[in-house]
Amino acid sequence: MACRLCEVGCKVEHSEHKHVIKSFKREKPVARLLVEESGPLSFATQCRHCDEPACMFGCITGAITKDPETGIVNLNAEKCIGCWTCILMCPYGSITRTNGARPTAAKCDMCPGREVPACVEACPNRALVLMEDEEPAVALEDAA
Amino acid sequence: MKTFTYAIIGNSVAAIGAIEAIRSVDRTGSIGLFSDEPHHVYSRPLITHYLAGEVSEEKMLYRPPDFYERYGVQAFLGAQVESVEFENRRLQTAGGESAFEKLLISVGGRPIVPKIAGGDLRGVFTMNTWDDAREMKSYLPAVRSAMVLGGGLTGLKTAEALVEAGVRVTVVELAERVLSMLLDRRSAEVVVKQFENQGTRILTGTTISEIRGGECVESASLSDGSTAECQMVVLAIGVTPRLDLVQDTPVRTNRGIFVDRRMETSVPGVFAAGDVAEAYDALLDQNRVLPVLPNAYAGGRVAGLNMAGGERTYDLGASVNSTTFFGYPVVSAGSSAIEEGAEIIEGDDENGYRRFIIQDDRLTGFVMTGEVNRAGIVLDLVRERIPLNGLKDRLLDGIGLIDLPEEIRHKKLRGGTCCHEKH
Repeated sequence: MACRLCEVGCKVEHSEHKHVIKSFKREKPVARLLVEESGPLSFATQCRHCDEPACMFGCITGAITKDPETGIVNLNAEKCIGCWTCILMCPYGSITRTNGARPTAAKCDMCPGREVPACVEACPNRALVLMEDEEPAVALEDAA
Repeated sequence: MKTFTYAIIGNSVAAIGAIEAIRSVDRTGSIGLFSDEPHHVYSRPLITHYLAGEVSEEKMLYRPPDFYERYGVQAFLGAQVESVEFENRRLQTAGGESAFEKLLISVGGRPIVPKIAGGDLRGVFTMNTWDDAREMKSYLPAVRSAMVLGGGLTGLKTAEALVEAGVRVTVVELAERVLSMLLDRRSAEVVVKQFENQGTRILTGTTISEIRGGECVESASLSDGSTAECQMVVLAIGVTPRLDLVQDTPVRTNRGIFVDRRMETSVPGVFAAGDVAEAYDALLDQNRVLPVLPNAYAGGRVAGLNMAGGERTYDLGASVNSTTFFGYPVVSAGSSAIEEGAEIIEGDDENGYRRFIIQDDRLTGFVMTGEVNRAGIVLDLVRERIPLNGLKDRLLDGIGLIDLPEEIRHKKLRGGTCCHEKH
C-alpha cells in the first residue's frame, strides 16, 4: 500500500539520534530500502544479501564483505571512498548514497543488535517478514 | 622442494578472488602466493587517492592484515617468479623452486612507456603500483606544475589527485577526446568540464614530443609546437598484459593470455585472470583484454572454483566503469563509447547527463553522470538482453524493478541471489 513506514523505520534506525523527529530534523538519513510504486502495485526492495554478491566482487577498496557465519553482506563506510562501483554492479538497485560532504555507499545491514529489522517492525501490513535459512533473508510480498 | 596444491602468481584482486573461492570449497589444499611487490594485498585503484593524501596506509589494504593467515596462504611477497616450467609444473624465484598442481597467473599489466626524448629525466613517472604513488608523493614538494600524458582513467585519476595535492596540472591526450574507450564525445565533455572547473587544462589531439631539463624535468614540448614549464611528467597512455612468464611457452597468448570460459589457459591446470588475461566479454560475445576491477575479481573467482575441482563458467565479463571526478559521478557500461550505428537516447538536466545505446530493441550500453543511483538495474537490462518494448520511453526517468516485465521481476525478486554465473 506504499505507506513507506519501512523507509521511515530504516532511516531512524540508521541515524545518530534514533528518534523520528530529531533524526529527520537534524540529520538527513537515507533509507537503505526503497518502496517502488506503479499504479496499484507497490513493494519494498532491499539488499538480497546474495550468495555471490556482485557488489562485493566490484568493490574497489574491500569495504564490502560477506559474513561467512550470518551470510549478511556488510559495507564498511570507513573504507568506502564513494566510487559507486557497487551501485553499478547491484542488479537490484539496492545500494544508495549517503548525504553530506563525503558521501559513501549505504545498504541494508539487517539492523545489527535488533532481533527484527526496523523495516519489518515498522510494516503495518506484515508485507515485510523476516525469514531464515534457504529462503531469501527478507522475503518480499507484492502488496497489490 | 615445496609442492603447493595451488600456486598463484600475483597479489591483487584476481588472486584474492581465487583464494576466497578456493577456500569456500577446499579448506586444506595448500596455497602458495608469489608476488614481485613487497606489500600486503592493497587496492590498486586507491593509489591515486593515496597520492592525493585522502587514503591512509592502513586503508590502502584490500583485505585485513591477517588475510593470508586466515585463509591458509603461504605468501612470498617481494619474490618475483623468474620462470615457470609448465610441463614439469614448477616455478622458480630467486629464493628457489616450488612445484604446483594447479597454477593461476594473475600478474596484471604494466604501463606502456612511450619513447620520448628526455623520458629518463628525474620527475618522469608512471602510475601503476603503490610504490609508484609513494615515489611521486615524495617528489611532490619539488612540483608546482605537472603534465599528464594520457586522458584515460589512470591519467585522469592521477591528474585529479595532483590537483587535490595543490599542483597545477595539464592533461595531454592524443585522441580527439578523453576516455575515448569508455565515453562518446558528449559524455567526455561532461568529464572535461569537471577538470576545467578546477582550472585544469585538457589538451586533445596532441602529445608530448620532448621533455627537457638538466637532471630533472623543467619543461615539456608538445607536438603542436608549444612548450610549458613543468617539474613532473606522468606517462599514462595505457597498460599492456605482462606476458614475460608465458613467452615461448605452450601457454597460448594473443594480446593477453587467452583463457576459455573456465578461465583455463591452453595448458590444462594453468589458469589466468585479471588484467593479464584475454577473457570472455559476455556483452560482446568474444574474448578480449578488459582491465577493470570487477572483472578481475569475478574471473579470479571462477578460476579458483575450477582449480578446486568445480565446473563454473565466467559470464560476468563486461566493460563496466564507475568513478568520480572531483566528486562528480560518471558511470559507463557496454557499448557506451559508440557514436553511430545505433539508436541513441540522451538527456541532460540538473540530475546529470545520461545516454542509452539501443540496438535491435535491446540496450547495449549506457552512460550516466551525476545521479547514478540504481544504475545496476540498467546494467542488468544490458547483461540479460531484455527486450525494451515500452521501457525505452522510461529510461531517462530512471528504471525501477517495478518497471521490468512481470516475469523477469518475479524471477529477480523471488529467485534471489545475484550474479549471472551459472550454477
